[in-house]
Amino acid sequence: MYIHKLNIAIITLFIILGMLVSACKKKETTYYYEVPDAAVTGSSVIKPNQKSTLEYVSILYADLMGQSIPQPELTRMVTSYEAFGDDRIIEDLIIRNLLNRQDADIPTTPEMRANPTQFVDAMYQRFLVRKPNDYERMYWVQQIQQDTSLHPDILYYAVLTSVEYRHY
Amino acid sequence: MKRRQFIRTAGATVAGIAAAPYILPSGSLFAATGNRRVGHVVFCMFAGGVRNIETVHMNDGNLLPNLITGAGGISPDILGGMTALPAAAAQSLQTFGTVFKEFRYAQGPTGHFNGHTTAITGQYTQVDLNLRERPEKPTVFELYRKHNNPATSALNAWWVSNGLGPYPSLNYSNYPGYGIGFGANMIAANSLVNADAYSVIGNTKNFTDPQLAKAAALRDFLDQQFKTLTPDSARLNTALDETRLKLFINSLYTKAFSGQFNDPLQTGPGVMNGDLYNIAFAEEVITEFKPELLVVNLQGVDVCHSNFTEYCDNIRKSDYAVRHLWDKIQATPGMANDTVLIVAPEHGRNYDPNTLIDPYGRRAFDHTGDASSREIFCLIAGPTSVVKQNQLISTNMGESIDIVPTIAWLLGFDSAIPSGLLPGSPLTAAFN
Repeated sequence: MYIHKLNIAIITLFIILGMLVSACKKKETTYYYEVPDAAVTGSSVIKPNQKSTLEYVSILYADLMGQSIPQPELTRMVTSYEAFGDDRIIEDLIIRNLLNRQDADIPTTPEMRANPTQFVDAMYQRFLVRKPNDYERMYWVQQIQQDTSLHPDILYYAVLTSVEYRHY
Repeated sequence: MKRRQFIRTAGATVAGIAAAPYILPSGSLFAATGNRRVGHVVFCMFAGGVRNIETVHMNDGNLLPNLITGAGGISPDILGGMTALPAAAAQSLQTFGTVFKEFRYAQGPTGHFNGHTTAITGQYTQVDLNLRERPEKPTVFELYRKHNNPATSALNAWWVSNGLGPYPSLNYSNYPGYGIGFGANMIAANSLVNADAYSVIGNTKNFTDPQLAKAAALRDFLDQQFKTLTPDSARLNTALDETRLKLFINSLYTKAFSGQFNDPLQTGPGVMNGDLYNIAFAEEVITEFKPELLVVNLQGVDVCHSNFTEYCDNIRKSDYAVRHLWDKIQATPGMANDTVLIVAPEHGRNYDPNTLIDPYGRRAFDHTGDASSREIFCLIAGPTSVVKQNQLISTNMGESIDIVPTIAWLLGFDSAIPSGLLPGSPLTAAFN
């Protein structure tokens, strides 16, 4: 019992001393860690609206094929949406179908690796209609440089199935 | 506290904790509290508007030889308009269950979508429905998934829709506390398994598992960066189930390309219509998922607005299709002898004809709310231990709104449904 009371007294003393020291301090200590020189900002992107099915497939087609979607193609896609209960599954299949087409506008892997920064900037502008911030750019470029198995279609697939791509 | 009292109190506390139900975020108990009578229910809406006069009253002969017991030959004047179908089964489905001969769609407009909505929600709709909106009241799928066991995958609940338009939206409602998170998977396969749909969702880029994992990691990074004011809506399926569903869709294309859907119900050439195909796709769902709850509809008889004889022929095709569905259930391990099949039209059809006459001289019929358009039948077939066999109830008994409570009662989640939510009652006269 005596030891227990002594412990409490010692802890209380340390707390009071700590408070006195911090109250008297005039200058804040600044710590520097070794992190890359990238500006880390919160997302300033404002895209409050979710794309409708019609908007989604029209924009998706234009983004990947470089031209407006022909009306018969649009009808087939919208019908497919209506014919299955889970939109995400149909979206995924449409994206993969377009990525598999010969005339899809997808850079080659050597083109991507020749200038990853340019590739990432172009990908963001094309699909997300904005520039990546420094942190995002650094992340994607690192992924491309560190993982030699990455191809442009995998990166495109990731972006096109993201939550941000479903919004405007 | 004395030792004996302490032990008694502690024991009671531990027992109480062990016995207490687990409460999930949905507010539901972990498992249904009622008794499950069967493991599976298949509800076939014999829809499109069918008169009792042509079905259970057999005014033009027995057009439902696979469903209802009766020997009447088809009227000679329309016989020439009947398609040759495989011979009817030796025993009708009535032998394996109960027929409510005078069932009623008692209230609401006699429109196809109204009738479908009533059958799937267990609620009459009093006004013409906005065709682009989901039901206002919870569907049987949501009631099942929320109150049977919220942890159950959506792969266990299926709505196999004959067509597009408003019907696909019957897989879940806008009712607060329910919705997509408790909805059913829906497939309108007649619009999905064809060359047009394949051109946009088939022939897809194949990624390896490591590539998919990498793409998922990259997507997660993007999703973490993006904050939206409109939170992503709840999902119908888990990521794992989504993968299985994509494989299922691809398997349907593979079968279509290999000719397996040329004559899937063994009807012979030139017989298949949208109804028969829809049953064939429902059977594909049964093969792949063995769902606990499956609802499938037929619509071909609606041709009666302009052609009475073709309507009679389509009743026969639907009869054959339902029998094929029953045989499929009985041939499926896990569902055989553990499934109740419910068959009922969504509404009837007028007593008085319109002005159109078909090539066989018969007048056509609409459905505009007279007494005849509210008269329907209901067949319930299932295991002998559950369903009363070979019972024909000829008195007025049962309504459309009783089907959902019956499904809930059979699957054992009826007592978990909030009091007052369903106006109907289980059709207990059909069961042992």
